[in-house]
Amino acid sequence: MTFPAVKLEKVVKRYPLTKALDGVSLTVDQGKVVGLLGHNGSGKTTLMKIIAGLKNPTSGEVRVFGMAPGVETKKRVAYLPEVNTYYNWMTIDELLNFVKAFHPDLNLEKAALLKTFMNLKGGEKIGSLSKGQQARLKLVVGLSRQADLMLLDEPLAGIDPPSRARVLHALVGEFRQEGQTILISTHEVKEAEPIFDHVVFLREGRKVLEGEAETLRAETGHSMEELFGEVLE
Amino acid sequence: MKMFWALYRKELKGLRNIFLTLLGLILGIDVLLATRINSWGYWQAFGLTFLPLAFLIFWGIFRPLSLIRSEWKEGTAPFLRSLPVSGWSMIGAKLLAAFTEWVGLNLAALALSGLFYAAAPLCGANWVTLSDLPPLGEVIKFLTLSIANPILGIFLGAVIFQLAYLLGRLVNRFSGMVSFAATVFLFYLTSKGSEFLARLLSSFPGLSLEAPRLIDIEFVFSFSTVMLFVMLIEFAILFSVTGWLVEKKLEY
Repeated sequence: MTFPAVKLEKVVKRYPLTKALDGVSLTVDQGKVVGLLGHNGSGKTTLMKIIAGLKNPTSGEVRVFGMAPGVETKKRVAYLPEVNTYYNWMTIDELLNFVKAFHPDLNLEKAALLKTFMNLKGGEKIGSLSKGQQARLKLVVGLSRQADLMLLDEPLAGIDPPSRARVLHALVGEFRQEGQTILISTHEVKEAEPIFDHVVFLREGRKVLEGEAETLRAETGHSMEELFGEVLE
Repeated sequence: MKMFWALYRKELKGLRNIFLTLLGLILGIDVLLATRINSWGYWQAFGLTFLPLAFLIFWGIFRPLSLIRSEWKEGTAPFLRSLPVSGWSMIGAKLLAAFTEWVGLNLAALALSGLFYAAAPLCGANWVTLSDLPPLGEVIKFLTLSIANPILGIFLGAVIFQLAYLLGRLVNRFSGMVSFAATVFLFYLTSKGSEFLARLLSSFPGLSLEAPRLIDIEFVFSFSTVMLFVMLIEFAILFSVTGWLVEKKLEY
């Protein structure tokens, strides 16, 4: 039986003063590239973290490949947060070897290719990297793995505009694992639009629109960027 | 287990710089004491070589806390928790790495004290003769208990501080205050638990907490053994709770 990569049922995440997610239901089929679109504070990061098993929903049900988020799902998921969460005292190669100890699916040969592609040197300390280099390092770590589900939280943040198209091309093109599901949260809709199979618009923790990117474009006559402005403003 | 050792090695690598700094400090203290033998006398200077050991007990208790705290302070906690390892492995690797560092520093301090002692005749002092020592069996028993008890005490203290800190991370605001209150509460709870468990264990044959009129070595051994088991049980309980907290309740 094939489970969806992600299935959320009426997920609510409440903090003492706010509601980050308000009854979000969502099904992400395996092998799709899904855009999670919304402004800052719309709940994108919270949703990603719940799927990654880093946050617990207040109510609702979360399934990743048919399982509740935990150690087993973490083996199949690559979560790349927006900010740098790696150890600054490690070098890039030390980090890759460290990650490989937990994820045997990490391919060091692929990592070497990606390092060259992203213009990074293995001996460099993570703490000495610029914000843009740290953003590229996250992609090196994520794309080197044969993870079934990749969660990318604002992957273009910190990457200079001329390199973004190249990075996105790498993400869904030559370096993508066959059948891999990718969930990308972003508000850089214009650049990321061409790679989405499916999009989900979030506003104030609620899902306001969802559909196949192609169908939405045909039905509304708008690009995703235009829809982003229309639906979320 | 492979993942646990990977975590452990990561922790050890992270400890390296501070370990070397402390090693240098201990060596510096011993060199300073060696230069003071003539003015302070050999036995006073020798006694002071054990001073770092007292400091290291506190270091051993606080070190695992600092390892946990740094994950939040440096923002690496989400990465650590995104790895497919249990909360118990995460906490255990930190405890073990801190303990390894503690053992390393203690061995270094003791080796330097040993060198100091070996040089006694050169400084005009005499070695203690073997006939002045108690029987070998008692020495071994005494050393075992006097090493095992502080080690378990360190583990217990360390896990209390870790748990208290993590309880503070459960709330979004006033986490420092919650951690402080949790520390006080956990120490109170542990001391009450110790009383209860000690009473329970002292009913076992051969283990007595009834102090004789004159405290003898047998009572000391009996008391230390009971305390050893008490700390072992309490550590196991608190370690389980801490791992469960990391695994199920904390958010990153």
